[in-house]
This record gives sequence, structure tokens and C-alpha cells, in this order.
Amino acid sequence: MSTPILELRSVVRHFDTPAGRVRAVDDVSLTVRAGETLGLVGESGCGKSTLARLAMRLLPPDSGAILFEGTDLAKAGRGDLARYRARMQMVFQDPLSALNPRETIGRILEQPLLVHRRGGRAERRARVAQLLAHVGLRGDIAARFPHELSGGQRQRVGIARALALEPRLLLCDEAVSALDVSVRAQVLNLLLRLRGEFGLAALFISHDLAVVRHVADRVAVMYLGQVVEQAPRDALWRQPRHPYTRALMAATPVADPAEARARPPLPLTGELPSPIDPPSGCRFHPRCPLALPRCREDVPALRLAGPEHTVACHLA
Amino acid sequence: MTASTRISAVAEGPAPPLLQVSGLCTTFTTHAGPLPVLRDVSFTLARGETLALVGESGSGKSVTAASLLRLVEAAGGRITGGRALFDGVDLLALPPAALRAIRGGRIGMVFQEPLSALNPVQRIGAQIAEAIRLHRPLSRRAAWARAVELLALVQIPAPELRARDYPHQLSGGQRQRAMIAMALACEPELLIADEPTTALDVTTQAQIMALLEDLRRRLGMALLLITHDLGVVAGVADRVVVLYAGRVVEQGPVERIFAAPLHPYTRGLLDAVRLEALPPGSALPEIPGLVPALHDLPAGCAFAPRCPRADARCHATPPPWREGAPHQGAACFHPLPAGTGRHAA
Repeated sequence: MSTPILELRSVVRHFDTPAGRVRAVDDVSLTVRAGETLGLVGESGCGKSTLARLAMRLLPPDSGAILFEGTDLAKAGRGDLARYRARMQMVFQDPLSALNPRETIGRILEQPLLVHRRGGRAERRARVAQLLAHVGLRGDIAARFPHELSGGQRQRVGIARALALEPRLLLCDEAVSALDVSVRAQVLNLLLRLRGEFGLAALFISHDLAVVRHVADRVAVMYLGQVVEQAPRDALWRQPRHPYTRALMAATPVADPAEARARPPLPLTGELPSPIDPPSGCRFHPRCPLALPRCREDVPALRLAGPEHTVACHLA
Repeated sequence: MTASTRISAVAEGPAPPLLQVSGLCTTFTTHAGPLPVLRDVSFTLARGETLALVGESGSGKSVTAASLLRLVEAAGGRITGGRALFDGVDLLALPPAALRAIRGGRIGMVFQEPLSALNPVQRIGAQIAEAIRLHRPLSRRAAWARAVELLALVQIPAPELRARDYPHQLSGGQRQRAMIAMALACEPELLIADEPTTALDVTTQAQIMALLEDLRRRLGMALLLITHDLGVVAGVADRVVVLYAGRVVEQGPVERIFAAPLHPYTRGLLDAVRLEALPPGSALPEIPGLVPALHDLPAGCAFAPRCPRADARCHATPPPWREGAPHQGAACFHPLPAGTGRHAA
């Protein structure tokens, strides 16, 4: 097994709001190995975006360790943080709000090089041209503004910017979720190609199981601030253990009329509870088709269910 | 399948379609000049049938729904041609009062974002009751009771209590259920649902689609479902209309569209979402290039610049509509062979 590039150990982050304490990330441990893609799936409010911001140390954790190449970012000073942040970069869902509308694409791509003092003016120019070529955009795009580009082109710019400092790890937060399907295929192909070319590791956060299945080596499933199951891709789809994982798989639409209509009804009741005051015991118990009385009281611990396969369920 | 036999009988058959749209054209006026957002859109919808309008952003699927209800006019659009016969009456030619009576009455509507479609300062029950009283001579008390019944119908727990809530007090899924309850207030014959689950999580989406399908069956409604999600289409539609750059490029029964599409664009869309058919991590089949800008449409087929089958004629002349298989047609000079699927012609 290769070495971890990113490791989260028992990370906790709560937010106090007027409505109560949001337990956004509650004791989460995850590892992304060098060159590997870890998929992180879950629905709104499960804490997956907070987790990405914690991993980048854009947010400090309440407790726990965030190790990037062995250094704890939770304890790192500003200088160290800046250095590590260059090596881990984020790709956001909505490139239009992530790109400064008043700067040209060339300026936007040059910005990280300036901040991190990489190269002289001519070298930076050359690097911008190279970055545009990497993501399949023509060089004349550099003179344009974000609003002049299509959604797919903007996401390519977002990816080019993330690549500017030659990171080791990409954090993709719903990076293809806002794109039309034909464009989504193009951007996914770009990410797959760059991952191979540069040997990038990735934390690929998405609500879309089909996409995660295609890009991830291993997958972690989050529910209300906690990882409920984690496994290598094939093992997870061969034998999903957690009832929530099974429900997510059953709810993911399939583009085949016969298969879609042959499906049994969703094995899930009720709606996603609020992450404020999450349910006692197993957080999934109010919606779980299999819940027993003990699920209401005892918090299930993550335990090994197979090689590299962990699950937090009393019944799995 | 019954639905598709029904539509083939339209020409001289005894059962006229509930909705017959022909030659619908809608143009938006912008500072860059007039934008032809819909160009000659035609389709029919039988009673009790589910028809999916699918396409990517800018294909015109939402504008089609908004045109049928003449909501485009408020958004700067103009219907420049065509007819939309609803039970024999042209919606596009109706006087405003008659149109209002149908909108929210015999035709219900559900939108993508219930939070912006619901009044934030009025209780859910009161909004539904008001919608009922617009169309039915009921007392306030009777309308409120009916509102509570409707909330129960869409499976909102404790409907008496939820009726007293304001929209922000409900979850996203419950708000969409409340929107559906309101759309059903007058037992519509046709429900138009524009991306009803796009803003929702997958498990909530599955629950809402199951609810819509159950209600459609029980109430005998027709459903015009507008969506970009081919997975959702596969789950509920009887027939499918595929839009590209404001034109219908293909339509047919759902099994045919998915198993043996005629139009290369339909094929490309299907390939792009069928990730499970590919080895993990492998390159996805791509549709190269971009959707054309509506103010700069190609002279011929709008898909030609991206199409692997295009030749000189495709670039020069808009392709006419052709039936490629029973009940299935496409606007394409070079449709895929009908034998691509299970039903060789």
C-alpha cells in the first residue's frame, strides 16, 4: 500500500447557530493515499463540503488531526499552511462564483503563481498558456472574462487554476454536478486524464453515486456528519453493508426503463433529519428499514467487514 | 405501450389527445437581437400518459412549458407561431380570463424550486385553500379542510399541523410535496412538472417521483415532465421528446428511445450517462464541442457541428422529420439504423 497523502483522524467540527449546535463533522477519520482517488458520497447536510474545507484547513477543526504528507495542518503555522495549500487544490461546483468576474482568465490563472512567487513575468505567461493547453482550451481564452465562457469552459479554467502550482492532491467538491451531461462527460474525461498524467491523488466529493463509482478507487459514505461505510469501490458495489448505502444505490436513477421499473420501492422512510440534534444511537435509525430497539440507544462503532471495508451498523 | 398505440391513432382515431402542440415557436427579445428559443415544436400527449421533455440547458424544454401556459410573456418572450390544443381549445389563443381558469384548474404546475414558487409569508394551508377558492366555490373553512386532505394525499405527516406552517418551516422535500398538493387542488387533467426533483437529494428525489407516479395513476392525470435527467425519464415516462437548441430532434416510446435511438444526439446523451456500462476509470464517450448559441445557429441541423454522422447536406439544410420506426421519429438525414436496438426494422 502506498503512503497516505492526506489523513483525517477523529476530526470534529461543530457550528453554533441560533437554532442550536450543528454537528457538521462528527469524529470522521479518512485516508487518501498518494495517487489514489477517494470518493466521498452523501446527501445535503451530511457534512461533505465542511469536510473538504477542513481538509484544506480553510476551517480549523474543533478537535482531531489533519495530516497532509505527515504534517498536522490543525497545528501548522501560517507559513507552513501556505506551503501545503499549494500542494492541495480545490475544484468547486460553481466555477462562475469561484472565478473573479473582473479579471481575465489569464490573470486568474496567473494569480496563484504570483501569490506563491513562482517565476518571472515571461515564465508565468508561458505557464498560463501551458495550463490552458492542459485543460483543452485555446490560448486566446486568456484574454476573455469568465462570463464570456460556457459552463464547461469555466470549469476547465477552474481545473487549470487548481493545477497551476502542481498540486499532489485535488479536492473536487461536486466538480461536475452543475454541468449538462454532454459537458460533464468532457470534464470528467479531463479530470481522469490529468489524474493519470500528473499522478494526482483526489478527494472526489459528490452526491452522484454513478460518477463516484466511475472515478473512485475507494468510497466513503457519509450520513449526518459521520462516515457510515467505507470500502474499495468494487467491494462496496458488490456487497454494500450499511442500509443507508443500499438506499442511496437504490435511489440513484438508472437510464434503463426495464431496470428502473423492476426496482422495488425505496427501502427508506422519512426524510433526512436536521444535523442540529441528530437522532440518538445510530443516526440513521429513524429512516432505517431494519432498525431494532438497540439502534435507538447504542451508537454503532465502525468495524471491519472485509478487507479495507468498514461499516458502522449493528446489523451489517 | 398503450400510450404509444394511442398516439398513432391521433390522425383519425376516436380518442383525441389531451394536448396537441403543433409548430410552437417562441422568441425572446434581447439586446443582441431576437432569440429563436423554440422553433417548430410539436408533440401530443394522451389522457393519462406521461410524456418527458428532455434536453440540456438552453434546449427550450422549460420555455415549452412556460409557452403552453403563456407564462413566457411576463419573462420577455413572445409566442410567434403554432397552436397548443388542450382538449380541443387553443391555449395560445385563449382570452386571459379563460386561460387563468385553466391554469391552476384543469392544468396544474409544479416547479423546480418550491421556495420561490410559494408565498413565504402565508401559511401552507392558506395558500392551498386560496388556490382551491380561485377555481371552486368553497367556503374558507371547507377549502382549508380540503387543503389538509391534499397535504395528507401527498403523504405529509401530521397534515393538520403542517398546514399551519410557513414554507421555510418545511424541508425541501416537504415543500415540494406541498407544491404538488397545491397543483392537485383542482384535480387537474394535466400536471406540468418542470424539473420537480432537480433541487432535491437522490433519496428525496426517488420518494417524490414515486409519489408523482402514484398520484398520476390514482387520479388518472396526464403528466408532462420536463427534466434533464435521463434516469428519471427511464423510471416514469411512457414517451419521450428530445429537444436540442429549440427543436424536437427525436420522439418515441420510452423503450425505443433508450434501446434504439434514431438521432445521434439522443445516442450521445445516453452514452454519456451510462457510466455503469464502462470499465471504472475509463474515458467516457463524449459529445464533442458545445451547444450552439441561439443567436448564431448553424444554417442546417443545429447538431451537425458536433455530430459524427454529419455531411455537407446536414450543414446546409435543416433535416425534415422522418418516422424511423413505428411511433418513433427524428429530425435527421442520417438516423442510426433501427437495428441498433432489439427491434430491427
